[in-house]
Amino acid sequence: MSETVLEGIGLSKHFFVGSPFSGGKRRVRAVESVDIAIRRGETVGLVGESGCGKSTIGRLLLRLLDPTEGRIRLLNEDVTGVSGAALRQLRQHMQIVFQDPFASLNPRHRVGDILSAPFRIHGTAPPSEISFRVADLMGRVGLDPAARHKFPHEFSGGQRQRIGIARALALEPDVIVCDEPVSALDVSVQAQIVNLLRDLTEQTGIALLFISHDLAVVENICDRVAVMYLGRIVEFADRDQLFDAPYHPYTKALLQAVPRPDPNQRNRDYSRLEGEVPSPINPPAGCAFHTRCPVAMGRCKAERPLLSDRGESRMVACHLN
Amino acid sequence: MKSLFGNLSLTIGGTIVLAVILFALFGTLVSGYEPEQMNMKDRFSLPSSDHWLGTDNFGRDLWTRMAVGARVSLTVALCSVAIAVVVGTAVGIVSGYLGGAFDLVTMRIVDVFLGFPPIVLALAIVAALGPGMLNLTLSLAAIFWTEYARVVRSVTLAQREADYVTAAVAIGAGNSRILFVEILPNVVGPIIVLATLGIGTAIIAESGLSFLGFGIEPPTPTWGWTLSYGTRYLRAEPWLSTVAGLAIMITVLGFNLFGDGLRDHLDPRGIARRIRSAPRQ
Repeated sequence: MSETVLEGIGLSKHFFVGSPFSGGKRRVRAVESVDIAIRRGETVGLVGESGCGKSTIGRLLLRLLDPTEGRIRLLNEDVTGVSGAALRQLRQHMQIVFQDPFASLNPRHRVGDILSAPFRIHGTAPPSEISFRVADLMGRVGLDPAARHKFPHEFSGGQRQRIGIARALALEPDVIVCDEPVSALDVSVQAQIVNLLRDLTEQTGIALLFISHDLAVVENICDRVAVMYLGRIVEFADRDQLFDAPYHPYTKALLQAVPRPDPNQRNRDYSRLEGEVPSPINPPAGCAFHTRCPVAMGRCKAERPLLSDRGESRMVACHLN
Repeated sequence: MKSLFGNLSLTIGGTIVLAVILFALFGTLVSGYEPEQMNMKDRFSLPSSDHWLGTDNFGRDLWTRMAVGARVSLTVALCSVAIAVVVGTAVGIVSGYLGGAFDLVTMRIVDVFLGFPPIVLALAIVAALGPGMLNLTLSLAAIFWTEYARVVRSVTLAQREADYVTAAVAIGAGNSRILFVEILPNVVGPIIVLATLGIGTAIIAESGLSFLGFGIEPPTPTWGWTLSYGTRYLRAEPWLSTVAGLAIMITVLGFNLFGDGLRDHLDPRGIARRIRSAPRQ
């Protein structure tokens, strides 16, 4: 097993909403006691429905948000309490690619300025070399280096996402968190970006945390996959195991809901989950999924199942055996 | 460029503003009179080929005196708005980005400034500092900066949450880079519009203070003072005050039209409009 580059241990993040005048502050449990480790060179998928805390985990690991509880380790060093200039130095090792390629690039900066900023801030390239490095970056993500003088709005969504990826690559990080990097793009462009990310990780050995709600994309690119429900990881397994033999009832439901472009199966029964996701302000006691679980037992309402090792590098949080 | 001329208020306003600036710069050169040159035979004359705008109660050439007044009004207005923009933008952008205690304290200071009627506040400051061009400029800047601080703060609050700012944090940029390289260029649009409109307001305020005798002291021929002493002869010789009043009106109209046109041109979503039309007191 190779070295762990980025690790969250017992991570929790609670947000407080409301004011003292509207019934007091309420605690939103966005992420609860999550353990996640990304090893060198691998791509870990993080899936779950909207609002389950996927993006929050990504931002906690990158130290863009401070965890309520838990620790973050980068390259086997605890970086939970690091701040100021030391934290800015650490940011060389971990980068982010955003979902929205229109919001993630400063509309007033030229592409050349956006891509040279990392070199200028960290001084990782002498000023005379920066222009060459920017051209090299643009080439690596499939952009024409002559376009460096253009503004972001002159590019298409897919090209902008390539700029975002080039910016993340500039500092040669050990790990990149991709926060829904393709869900704002057309399907044909999605495939190009996914292929680009896969090629880049194979060439450079950069580890990825690939956050997505699109299981087809995750199956395509990831080595291991974590499934989240209401702020917790419910199943964490190697890709093939997870997709071939899902264990947790929620994972099964998610996989069954994936549309299949197969005309012979058009009448296939999509067994839907009933009900809504409970509120993270007031999560249910016991297993958070028991209110919608088709196989819930009495024990599920009272006792929270812990994430436990089920062999073959599979972790599941469920009382079912 | 075509759309620039398609915008009527921008074209008319721009023409007026340009004309006033040329008048201020070259008006005294073409008239052939000194602003203090008296001619008691020619008192209260109406416009003629000798005196293009007529003369005042001492027979001084009004064209020349209005041109000197334009220089004073524009200088005071531009300088006070420039100071207000710089101070207000700096306070607003830091306040909006940092939030917390700094934001709380600065915004309460802004509230204190907004609590006074603007002209009364300016009068109090001029009365404390004494009259004169510099003090007048400072007192006007003191009543204008709050508007820029509030607008920049609210725009910064919105920009702070944008992904491109998070991206800059993730790259390791420091606060000063994020504020001045990332956020500031995205705040400039509404500020340019507000500043143009603010120049009109500043000219009115400067004229008002000079009218009341708190602005620039005679013998400097300011528009406000000319309007004021013209009122002594208003029944018999209404022309003097009319010229000064028209000069103020046309200039302010020009800057307001220019500002409105600029707003429609630069800011089609109307951010500056919504903020400006909010009640001030």
